Amino acid sequence: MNSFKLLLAAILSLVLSSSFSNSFNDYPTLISLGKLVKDPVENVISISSGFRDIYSDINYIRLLEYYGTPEEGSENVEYGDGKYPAFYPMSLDIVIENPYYTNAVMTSAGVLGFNLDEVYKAISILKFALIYDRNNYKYITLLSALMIKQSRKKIYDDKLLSDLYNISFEENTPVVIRQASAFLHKEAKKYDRALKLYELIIKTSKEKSYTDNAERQIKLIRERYEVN
Amino acid sequence: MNLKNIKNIAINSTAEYLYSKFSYLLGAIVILLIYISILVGIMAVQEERKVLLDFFVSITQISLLLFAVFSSSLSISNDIETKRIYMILSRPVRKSEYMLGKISGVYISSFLLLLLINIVCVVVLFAKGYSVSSDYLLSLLNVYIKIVVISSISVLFTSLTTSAFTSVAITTMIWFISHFITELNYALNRVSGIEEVFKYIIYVFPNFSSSLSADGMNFVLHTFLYLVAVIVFTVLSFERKEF
Repeated sequence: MNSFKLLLAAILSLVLSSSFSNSFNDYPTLISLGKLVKDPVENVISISSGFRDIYSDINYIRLLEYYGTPEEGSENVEYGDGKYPAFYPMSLDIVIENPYYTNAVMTSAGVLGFNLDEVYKAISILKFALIYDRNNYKYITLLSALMIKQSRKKIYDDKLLSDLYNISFEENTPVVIRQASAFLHKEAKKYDRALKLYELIIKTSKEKSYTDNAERQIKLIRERYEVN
Repeated sequence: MNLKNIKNIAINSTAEYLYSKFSYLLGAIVILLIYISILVGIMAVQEERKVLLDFFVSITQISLLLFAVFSSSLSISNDIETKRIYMILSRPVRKSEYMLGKISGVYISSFLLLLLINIVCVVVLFAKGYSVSSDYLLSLLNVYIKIVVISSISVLFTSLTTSAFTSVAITTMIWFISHFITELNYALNRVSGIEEVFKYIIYVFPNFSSSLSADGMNFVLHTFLYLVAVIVFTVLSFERKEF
């Protein structure tokens, strides 16, 4: 009798536990989006073994490696230029795997939009991430900046630029976003802010190509526009 | 139920698990993985801190999973094979006390292993000039809760099958399915007919695709109630066994 009561209690406990189980997914569902990722099997294994975060880290490192490698056969290529056909699919992999990986999504969209001039693809990455991480203001601001660039009307929204400027000074903002922010401020003729952003890049970045460019831009702004 | 018996078995089991050859081997693998994570972290440039933290949580998870599943499966089946269980149960120790002691031993030794691994990880983080965030501690707690549940499942299948290999295989499959629950839910919500039965079968598995940071108290309550059910099933199935 005692065993029977215990068995009933166990069944009741199991039933109750299911009522607290969250059946909604906070992440993109791989079953519906699997065809979009490069290697669905790898994705399924990483998710089902509980290593989603580490897998998105590894994919981000792969993306950085790919983007850091010069195109085959090309000479004297400036860092950041060139054609990287696999960049978008690799970025898509990361955003499907983990749309909350802010810096990876920002870097992917930033490079696509500002360096590789594939604005539509950059916007699609950001909009996908925003479906899940809808309150991420960094995504919203970068999306706005890309839309400004896309419009090519030379109209710059002061509020959005201010948001982008403030985000650029946050500790973990990727250098590519700081660079884009500085560029947009320069284009919008906000030279004081552009100078401060380039100075920030020199102070914080470990990448020589970024610091060299920042030094060039500071010199150019000071000489051409007589700003100190 | 004699708590002193449970405590004694738990302490002995903890010592047995921690001083086993398997835990030494695991220790060596963990050191190697931490070294690899440092190298990978460097490659992530600006994201070094995040990559290191993610790697450390993953290293903790995989090593605790291996440790808990193998220790809980092998320990009980070894006790049965070497007839040591007769020595224990011939004393005034009930089968349920023996089982609860063994389960507690796995929980305690897993927690100690988690502490040991993360002391090394935190030293590496501080040496790199990074701090430990509350998110990291929450992730570790999440890992520990999952390990407690999966090791209990492992003990349940050891008590049902008395074969360590079968128990390890089934527990590993449950681990994979449990992380895929919301994906399976999504798919099962789109089926009709006889396949709809699977919608309910899925509740037999713990839901590891949710987490402490995402679902908070719901996750705690779900795992706690699930754990209670698994422990009761384990004790009941072991009580019915004849030795």
